[in-house]
Amino acid sequence: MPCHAIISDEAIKDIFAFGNFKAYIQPHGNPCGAERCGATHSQSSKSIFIDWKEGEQSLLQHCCIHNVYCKMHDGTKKVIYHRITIHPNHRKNGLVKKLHYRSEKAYKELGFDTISLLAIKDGVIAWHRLGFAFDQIADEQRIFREFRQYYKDIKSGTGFEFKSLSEVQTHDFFDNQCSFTDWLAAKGIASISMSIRIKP
Amino acid sequence: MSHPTPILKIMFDDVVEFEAIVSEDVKHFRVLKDLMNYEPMIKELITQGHTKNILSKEEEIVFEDGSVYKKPIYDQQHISISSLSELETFLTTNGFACIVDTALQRAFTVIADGQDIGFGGNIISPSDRSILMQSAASLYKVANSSSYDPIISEEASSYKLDVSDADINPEPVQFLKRIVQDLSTSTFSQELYANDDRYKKSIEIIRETFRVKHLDSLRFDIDGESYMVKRDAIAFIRRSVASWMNSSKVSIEVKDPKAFNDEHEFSFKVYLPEALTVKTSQSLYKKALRYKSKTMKITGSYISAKTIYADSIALL
Repeated sequence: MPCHAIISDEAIKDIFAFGNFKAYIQPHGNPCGAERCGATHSQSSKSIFIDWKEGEQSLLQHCCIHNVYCKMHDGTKKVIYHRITIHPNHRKNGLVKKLHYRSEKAYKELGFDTISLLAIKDGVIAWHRLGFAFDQIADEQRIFREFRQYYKDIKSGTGFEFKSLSEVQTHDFFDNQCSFTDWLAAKGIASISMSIRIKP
Repeated sequence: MSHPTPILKIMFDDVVEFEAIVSEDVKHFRVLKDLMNYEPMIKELITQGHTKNILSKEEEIVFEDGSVYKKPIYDQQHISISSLSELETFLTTNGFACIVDTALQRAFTVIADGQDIGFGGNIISPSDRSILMQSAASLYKVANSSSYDPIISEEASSYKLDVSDADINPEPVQFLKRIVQDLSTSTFSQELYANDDRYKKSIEIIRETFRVKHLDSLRFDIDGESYMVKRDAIAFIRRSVASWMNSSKVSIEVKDPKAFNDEHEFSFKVYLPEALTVKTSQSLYKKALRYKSKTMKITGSYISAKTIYADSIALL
């Protein structure tokens, strides 16, 4: 199977093209069949690097967005977000949120079943709030437990009533002294597997 | 009293939030307490282990324009958990305060006595044995308002059961003590029976235990004191409840009963306009279901201000 059969470059570019934003696929690797997909590829996956720009200005901090699109042995299709780091100048504009909701809708229409990622640093909370579930219950329990400790120690919180991370509001993760993501980083918690099922 | 069975406890802020008896090979476990839904995690760790992603290196990818992307490469490290010590180590190294404890605390002891209520040599019948064990567990659960079973151990005597737990809350123990103290002197509080569900259920459990044919007495050892509840005390309570219920007769007409529920306990609610719970027998409950949304006449007795026991239900 040529890798463009999993997803075409054009379909990927369309996802990132909204407002004044545009995607540029970084040419890399060998041509794939008739289409130069610009990616390392195999018969079952397509790895692609994207620069995302507003005009001439890149929206990214580290080079590119790296996504992998896979067709699994059981016939299901999966997107893996390997890297997406928005430049600090463009953060807090809900850019990732808009992109993710747009991606989720598009990948669903393109027949993908799940999106997965390894969340690092503040991504652990950010992706969870975008609907990603922890792949392992132990990770979720640990993060929630750390949040309880953070709430108690840093926010001097009394009357902790949250039953899970999903119930926690954005402002609860912040404090002048230390944000919860800084707290997690100090504990050495990183690289948490998460995924979201997009196929109903 | 020490038990060989280890109990895993997970704490947060010095509060024990999870307790489970776990076998050394972690193939079997029974949860005794779970305040923060730890059970699915324990189950996952035992059955699937845990996979960690560890950043091992960065691979340089050079694009055609000469720019370089440093791709992080993660190694997956899988940890299998096949023993209690491995489970404890995993939890501890992952930020969960936990200990494995083998010491149990005894809440109370029940000694049943009667012609064939003897332990050893298969004297006690399996069904009577089961009733006594269930009663002891139920008394503990009702007093603690908990759905988790305590640890019951049998000892040779007339028929002795020790009811133990990893941590004992003194309030429920004192509550039970008060009940058996009342019953040992053939008294009980009508007011509490009518208004305190825990009190009523506990009395009912003890009453039901005397279904065991040759059971003459139950001795409760609680908090260093002994209380003997005899069959005739139970008969006295049965008569007291019956006469009290008969003296508080009620007859009501209800138009369009709004809700039927709780099939297990055979009770439903009516509104007059305040909600009243109607408890009844299985057959009358089924009859009430047939009359749903129609005007019905209920006669019975008040069990409490908000609860009646219906002994007849008719369609008007």
